[in-house]
Amino acid sequence: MMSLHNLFTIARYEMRTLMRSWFFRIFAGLSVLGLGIFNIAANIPQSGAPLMYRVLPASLPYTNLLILNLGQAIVAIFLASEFLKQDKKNDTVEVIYARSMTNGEYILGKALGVLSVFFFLNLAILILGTGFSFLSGDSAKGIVEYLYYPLLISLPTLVYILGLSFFLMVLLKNQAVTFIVLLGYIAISIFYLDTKFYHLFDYIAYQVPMMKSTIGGFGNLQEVLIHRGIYFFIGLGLVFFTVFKIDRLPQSRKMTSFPIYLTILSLAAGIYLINSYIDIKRGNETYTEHLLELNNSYAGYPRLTTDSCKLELTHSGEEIEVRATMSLSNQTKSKIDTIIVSLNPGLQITELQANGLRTDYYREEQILKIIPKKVVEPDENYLINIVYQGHIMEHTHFLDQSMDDYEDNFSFEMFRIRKRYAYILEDFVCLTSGALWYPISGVGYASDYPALHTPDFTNYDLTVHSRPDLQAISQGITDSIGPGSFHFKPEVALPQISLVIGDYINYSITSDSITYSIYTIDGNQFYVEHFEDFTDSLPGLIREIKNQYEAEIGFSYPFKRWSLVEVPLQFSLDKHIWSISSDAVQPEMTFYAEKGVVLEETDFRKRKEREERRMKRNNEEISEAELQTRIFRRFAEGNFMANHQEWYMHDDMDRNTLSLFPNYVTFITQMRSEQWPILNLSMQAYLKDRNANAVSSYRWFFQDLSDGERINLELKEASLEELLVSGIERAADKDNDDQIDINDVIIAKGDHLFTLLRARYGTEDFNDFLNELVDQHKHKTFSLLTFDSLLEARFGSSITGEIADWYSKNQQAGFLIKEMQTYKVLEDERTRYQIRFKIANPEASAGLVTINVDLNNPNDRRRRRGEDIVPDFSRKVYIPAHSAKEVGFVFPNEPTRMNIFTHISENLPNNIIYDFGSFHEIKKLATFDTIIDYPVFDHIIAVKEIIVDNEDEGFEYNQVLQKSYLKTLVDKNKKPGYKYEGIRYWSPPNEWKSVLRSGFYGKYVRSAAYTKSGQNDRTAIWTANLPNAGMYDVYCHVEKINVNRRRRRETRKSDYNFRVYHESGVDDIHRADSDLENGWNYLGTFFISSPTTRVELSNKSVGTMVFADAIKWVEND
Amino acid sequence: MKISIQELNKVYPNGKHALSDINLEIENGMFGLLGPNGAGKSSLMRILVTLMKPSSGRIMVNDLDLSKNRGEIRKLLGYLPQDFRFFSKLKTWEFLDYAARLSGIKNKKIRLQKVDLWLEKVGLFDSRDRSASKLSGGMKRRLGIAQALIGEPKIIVVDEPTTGLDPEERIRFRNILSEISQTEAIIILSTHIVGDISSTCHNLALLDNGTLGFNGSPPELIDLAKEHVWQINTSGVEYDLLKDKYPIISTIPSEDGWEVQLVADEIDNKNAIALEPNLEHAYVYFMEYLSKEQMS
Repeated sequence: MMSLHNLFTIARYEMRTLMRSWFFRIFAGLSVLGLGIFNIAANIPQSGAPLMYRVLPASLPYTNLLILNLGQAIVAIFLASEFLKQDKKNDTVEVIYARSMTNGEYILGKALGVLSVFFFLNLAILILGTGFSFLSGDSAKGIVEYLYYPLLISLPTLVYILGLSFFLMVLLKNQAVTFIVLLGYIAISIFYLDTKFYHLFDYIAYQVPMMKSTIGGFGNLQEVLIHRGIYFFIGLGLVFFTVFKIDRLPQSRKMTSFPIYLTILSLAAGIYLINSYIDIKRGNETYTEHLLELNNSYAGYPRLTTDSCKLELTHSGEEIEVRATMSLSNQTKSKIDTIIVSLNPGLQITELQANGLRTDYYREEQILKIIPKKVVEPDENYLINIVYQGHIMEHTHFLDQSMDDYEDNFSFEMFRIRKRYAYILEDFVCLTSGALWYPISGVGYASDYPALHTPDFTNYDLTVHSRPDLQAISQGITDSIGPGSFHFKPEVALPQISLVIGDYINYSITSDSITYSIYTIDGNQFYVEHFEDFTDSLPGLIREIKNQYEAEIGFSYPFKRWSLVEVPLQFSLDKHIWSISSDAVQPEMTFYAEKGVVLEETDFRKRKEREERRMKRNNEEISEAELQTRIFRRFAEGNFMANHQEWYMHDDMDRNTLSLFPNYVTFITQMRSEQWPILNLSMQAYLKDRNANAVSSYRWFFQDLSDGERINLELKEASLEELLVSGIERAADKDNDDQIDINDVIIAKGDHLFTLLRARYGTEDFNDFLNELVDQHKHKTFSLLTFDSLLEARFGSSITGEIADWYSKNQQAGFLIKEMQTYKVLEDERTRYQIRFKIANPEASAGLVTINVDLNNPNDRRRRRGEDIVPDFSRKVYIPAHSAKEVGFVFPNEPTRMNIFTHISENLPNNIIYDFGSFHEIKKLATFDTIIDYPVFDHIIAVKEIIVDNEDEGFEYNQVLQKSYLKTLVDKNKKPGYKYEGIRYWSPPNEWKSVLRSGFYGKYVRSAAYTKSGQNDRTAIWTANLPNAGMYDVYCHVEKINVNRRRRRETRKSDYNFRVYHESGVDDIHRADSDLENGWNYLGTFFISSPTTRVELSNKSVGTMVFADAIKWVEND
Repeated sequence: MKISIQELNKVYPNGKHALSDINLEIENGMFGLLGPNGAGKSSLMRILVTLMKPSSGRIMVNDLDLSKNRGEIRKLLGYLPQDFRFFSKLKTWEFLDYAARLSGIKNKKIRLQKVDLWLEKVGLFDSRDRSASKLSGGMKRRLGIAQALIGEPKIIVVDEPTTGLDPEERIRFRNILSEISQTEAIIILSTHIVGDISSTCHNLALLDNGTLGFNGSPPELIDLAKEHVWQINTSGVEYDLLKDKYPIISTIPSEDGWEVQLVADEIDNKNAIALEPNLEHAYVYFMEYLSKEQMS
């Protein structure tokens, strides 16, 4: 038997020894200091730390321990290997070894000693966090969170790393080697393996979604426990193995084999858990794929339309029981002999009747196949009664997400949060149509019919019975019909309904016959204190904000109510392939993550302090009510009404996530097209932002490709149709937040299609047409045929042919700009500023450019990040295929910069920038303030010029690439990224990489290759075929890019070393930065007789990097 | 208490025979284990304190087989190894407390009393709060013996205890051991310093090259050397001859040259005066003559 006395004695003295070691003391000191600073930053609003750090009780224990865990996982290696090293060195240990104790007592005592030391450190850090949270005003205080995070985060990691250290130390018998091997392992697991293989290798638990909600608890505690259990048991197994392997004679022969049994048992438990974990994760994927296959196989069946659906739901414990009555009709032209209905596979049918008779049905997961007694004729009605009960399997929600890129958790700052789609808990329920909690006619998403999402506009009637202390929330007129019982009756047919039940408190206000409510889980109403002073003016304010938004989008709010409903922070904000916004946007309501933690502008305290500071700076004095009004306005506009291009604090989400827009259009009407289902989303994307002018003209120097550019690159290689099938395959690097998905491409391409139509048919006319269309088809769908025939009637042309090209061809417009002129003119004795240029689209697709001009306006206020950037002048110019325009603008103030956005086109970057130095020249010409047709041109190269650009075939570079074997191995399955990347000025690449920049030369693609400067170890080569022998002027195209870093001396600006090949050999030509100008730079005149000639650029430079752009040979007369 | 060692052999993986067919009976009281460096003393001790397995043979402690009952036997053991250092971070009293806990003294009050008692006994009470690693060599040895004895072990194994100690410390150390030897316990003292044994041990064993050369009481060993220890007053040239011929025990300069003490089976020097041997003489005689004879 194990003697606890011995074990604790060993542990006690091990702990005492470690506590006195300077190594540990320094680590503990630094941890307390570092985390102290972190806690201060997290707890004071002035630091800019997001609200999430303060308002949820799990935040601080979770993040503190996560940070600490990274450190302790490394320090524990040293402490663990240290005792074995000392044991080997000192005879002292023989004094201990000669004592009567088992090897198990000794090793477990040592391990317990190390663990105890960290236990106290964890405790200190948690007390520190608690202390700070109690000092801070709006912090959430929780106690239980402090108990389970150490068990979930620290314990498994420490046991594992101790076991691993002991094991390696016993095996390698060298502390230094053990340390190096383990550090390497940690580095690989953190930097390469962390998110791979369902983050199975993440022993530090950095990626394990462990954030806990006050409403829904952990996202998935079972997965977390399994993941952490894996490391705990493997660690324990390795500790037992050390007991077996330690260089001390066991107490008795019996004891020799006992530890090895425990080792096998623990490792088996670990392996079993690994297996379970992978089974769960893979099982989720394969099950989801199975559901998708089923949808695919039944998507082609003709379906009945649900006209009305009456639901009576009883919520009890973690289950629901529903009696559903569906009233369907056959609106197809064919007879239907099999009725397909979708219902969540977790819900078991107990009774089914069709037209009042028991009817045969078959269930295959979510598919319910009903065989009617007789076929349903066209226009015939059909009644189905179903009784079902059970729970919700969340796999049904996002069948449209590719399993290759699917992540079941999301990150916000340091928090890893498990995505949840539906809840049925004892005290909380959250169900959206994606949960299939009520029967839906036909199938959901089917990949064989991408983006085909055709919900019926149905008249719903819902009765809910739940616990008497809970409140149910759904669409429509709400009647409380008893304790915990509610009846909901939407006034109009809706494409979907949702149900939320919880311990809510409700604040409501009515303005212009619309009831605005906020439903908050009792205890989470943190916002109340921030808006106490302006309740009287709230109806007026809401009216004002609403009117402003409606003026912008051109529609009126069609419902009688709008509610904000609090849901757990795990509620997924993913977007469907067919949606503008996330599933948090439901008819008449928007879900918000608890306490508004992933919303913009919910840190009302911080916002108030900022506003007060600003007021003080501007000598402004306003009332408390006015201040609260401003804060409220920012909150409402920022979250629910923002333009999708605006900067958003959350990388993974865009501004459309919580947009109100679906309430104005999506839930009112939808365009149906079986051939091009994405047209519905295209139209909605256009309608949403049709009046938005803001286009970000900023491009950070180091910025990677913009989303627009990524979309262009995708569309360059594949048509929309192909992309819908293949998905976005490129650069699915999960570390990179700036990836686009197919939804982004559809929205951009769709918006572009409708924007082109608008440019063609006239803004006002086209917008009126669409408004009328929506108005005429309220609460029902309309077909593409209807749309096209109405369009043809109004504008005289059908667009189906154009849509077919738009959908299936990957040809884009391409814009060439030439003869840019800027000069002053005098008009009525006043100086005017003229900009004039020619722009052509020689390609087969029509295109559009947006020209924004900034003027030198002294009254311009400083722009702030995140605010709308409204240019001084903006004009959209439609350029049909194979055409060109001459464009002239005249301004009263001097223009400083012009951006030409080329939208969806061959052009890269998609923002061509002209920085105007000054308008020196005065011309005695009439002003040219118009856009006129001009003969199309398809090149910008003059006669007798031969240009080889880095995009051309004549360009190549020499380099030797070195990549470590390990990296190659790990990256084996990594998808390739885009050809272009941002300029990494702090660490230029050791190979040639392509970068985009408006100032580079290029026909459509303005790019250059760049590399880190070196000693002529890499060269770029331009080879040209010259038509004639003769004298040629040779030019290089240079965009001077020098990073303005304070300590960069003038001498460190990049210089260029060219080698020009000609008749009499080669000339090495050096150009210092001061010799060069942006654009073409003359290198010399040479006699060249050979038909092929070349210019080389070496990477030798005093600057940090060199750019290889284009070379021009101009034949002399 | 009785330890019975039967046919004990230890062969190291490199082939070295550290112990060959050792048979020994050790009973209560102080038992000396004498032999030159490398004779196998430490190997025997390490086997006795369960740190090492013998290659063959058996050790019985009372009725317990050492290889099968390590747990029980370890409870009886107190061990002070030759090279005794400390966990650097513990205080003197803590180290003793650690040892006391591991020897099974669970009651805190009793344990702390014992710690203080032993600190007093070994004269370290004033240094009880000093870091153990900062004690002088002698103090460390004393702490070492205290930790070995604090659990009142029945078998005390002390390896080369007086190495590096000054004479005063050495005497103090011997006294402590003598005191313990009055109790019902076996003290096995391994040393290559004959003086450590002469004053205290009732029995001793002589190990040479892994074999047991002698096992008996010190007077028995001394008896073996009778008529074989000589003193010769000699001059320079003769001294060199003597040195080559006989093992010299001591050389003291005198007025005429040197007063030389040596051992010899027989001596052909007329000036040689027979001396009454002491244990040291007996040890040298044994090692130089009897042991070699046994070997041959």
